[in-house]
Amino acid sequence: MSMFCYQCQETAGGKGCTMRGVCGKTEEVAKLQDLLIYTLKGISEIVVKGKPASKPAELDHEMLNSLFITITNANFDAAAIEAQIRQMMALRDSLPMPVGLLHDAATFTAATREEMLKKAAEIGVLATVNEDVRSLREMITYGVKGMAAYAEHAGNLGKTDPAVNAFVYESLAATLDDSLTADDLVALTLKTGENGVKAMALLDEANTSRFGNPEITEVELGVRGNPAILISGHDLTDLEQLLKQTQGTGVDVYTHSEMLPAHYYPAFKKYPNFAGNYGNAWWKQTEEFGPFHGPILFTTNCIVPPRSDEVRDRIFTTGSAGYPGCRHIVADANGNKDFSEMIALAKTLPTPEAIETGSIVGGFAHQQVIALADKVVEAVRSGAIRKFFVMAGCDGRMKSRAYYTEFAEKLPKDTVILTAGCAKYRYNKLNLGDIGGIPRVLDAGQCNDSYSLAIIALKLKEVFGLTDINDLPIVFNIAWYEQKAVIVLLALLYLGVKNIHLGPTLPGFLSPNVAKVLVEKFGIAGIGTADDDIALFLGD
Amino acid sequence: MKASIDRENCIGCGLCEETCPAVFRMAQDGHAEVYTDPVPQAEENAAQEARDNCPVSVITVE
Repeated sequence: MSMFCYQCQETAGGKGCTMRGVCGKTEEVAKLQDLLIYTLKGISEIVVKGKPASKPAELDHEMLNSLFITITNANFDAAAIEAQIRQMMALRDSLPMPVGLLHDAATFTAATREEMLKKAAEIGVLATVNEDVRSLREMITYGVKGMAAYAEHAGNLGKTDPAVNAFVYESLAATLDDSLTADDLVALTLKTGENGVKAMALLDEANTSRFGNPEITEVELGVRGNPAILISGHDLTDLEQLLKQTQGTGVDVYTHSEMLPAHYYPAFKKYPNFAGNYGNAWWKQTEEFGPFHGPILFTTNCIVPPRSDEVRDRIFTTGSAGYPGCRHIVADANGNKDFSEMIALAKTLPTPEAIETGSIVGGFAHQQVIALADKVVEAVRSGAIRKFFVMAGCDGRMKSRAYYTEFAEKLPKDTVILTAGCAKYRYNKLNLGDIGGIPRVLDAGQCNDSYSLAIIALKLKEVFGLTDINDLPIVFNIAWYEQKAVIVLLALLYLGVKNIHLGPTLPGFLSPNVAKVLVEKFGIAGIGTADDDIALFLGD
Repeated sequence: MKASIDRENCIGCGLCEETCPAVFRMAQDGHAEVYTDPVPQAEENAAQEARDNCPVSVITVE
């Protein structure tokens, strides 16, 4: 059977990639990813059924790392994924086997890459024949992938939540259980959202306890005349280490895409070589990495396969990220990474060319917004702010995402956009003005900082004395691309948010019946035209 | 300006049709095809964008 992957928003034809991923992954990589997930499911069954008194120390972390490796645009390196499968199979076989019949996922063997690919062809997404069960199983798996990504970042900062780790095993084991009904799986989907909230809270605490609370910050978009390194992805510990190692070397550090919000944290402001943000959302890298000229570090997704050897030779990966032919930086036993090769390379390369000038403002995470709560509440009570629009999520290549730019531009001047994730690049440079000093685009941070937006909504609910979050003057118009957006969506559903609009297209992994449940139970809807949707949201 | 597609290696994702529907469309066999030649002047930027974003780099516009 050929590859089949429909985990991201850009999946071919909105239905599924079968020849090669639109993300750029080969059939071989897609199949190895499937087998890695299958191996994790088997491990999960052993852990859930056997309840081992102790597990290998690295198992929880490697479960999260494996899930992260399979997130869209994170790892394109077949050799790295094969090695991870081998490691997970070894960990699996070190666990005490529970009594009773186990699923094939818990016992299969595959010694060579060829055997792995043969096995993968039998156990992919389409192996679940019932399309509704398949849809729910995959939605849960994708949500767990997003949750794992957040939990891994928190783990890198020394924070773990045993409940989140336990849910990884519980949920993945459940995707092997043919006795579960569609209703059981719908309930598990919401439980996935509940654990997504926990993972995002954990990462919020990990980031803010180490780096301080994000604060209102002006971020430079231009360039300086020094050699430089560009850092992309989401991992703030990698950034911290890179800043420490580049300090005083004459090499500047710029952020790309989802790393932009790092500028909002007080702890990074002490580095004089932390120069600014270069470029836009992830998919623009094909045109932005060329003129940057310096080395590029991917700490996580989203990698777009480089179009030239010149650019590829400047790309380094670390953590769960990987790309064949790019150098991969591994942490030592204490989590320390050596970026000296990148720094040396930067010194030999031309300085970045300016592709923009000016600055943007962000840093409106929950603590900063709650510090401004009096001002915000007064603006709502006086009618100066009519409505908030949560437009968090991802950006992507599809032309139809121009909707979000048009939507932001056409929103009436008495509305405020709350954002997080790389979706912001569709409108964060439009200069939409402010309302009595409150900017009309409030950027909380990375996609996981959608948690901040939920905290802000819950705080406003409390301040306004409401019992239902849906009675707030807040509309959710979310853009999605990969699996971290799936866990953000499930987290919002768990928190009781209804009538979320999701675009630019609804997920290809939703079967008609599962989509119907989401529509009927939660009021989920797609997007229309910017004009129609604004009229709908404002009740005009 | 003329657009062409290496159809054998096209993965049929539909991104080019979405980006520049005046020049590219999905054919019956599931692969994209060019159906406007030459590329109308007003569509040149969109055609180039489709080329740049093609995930398997099978589009040529010159």
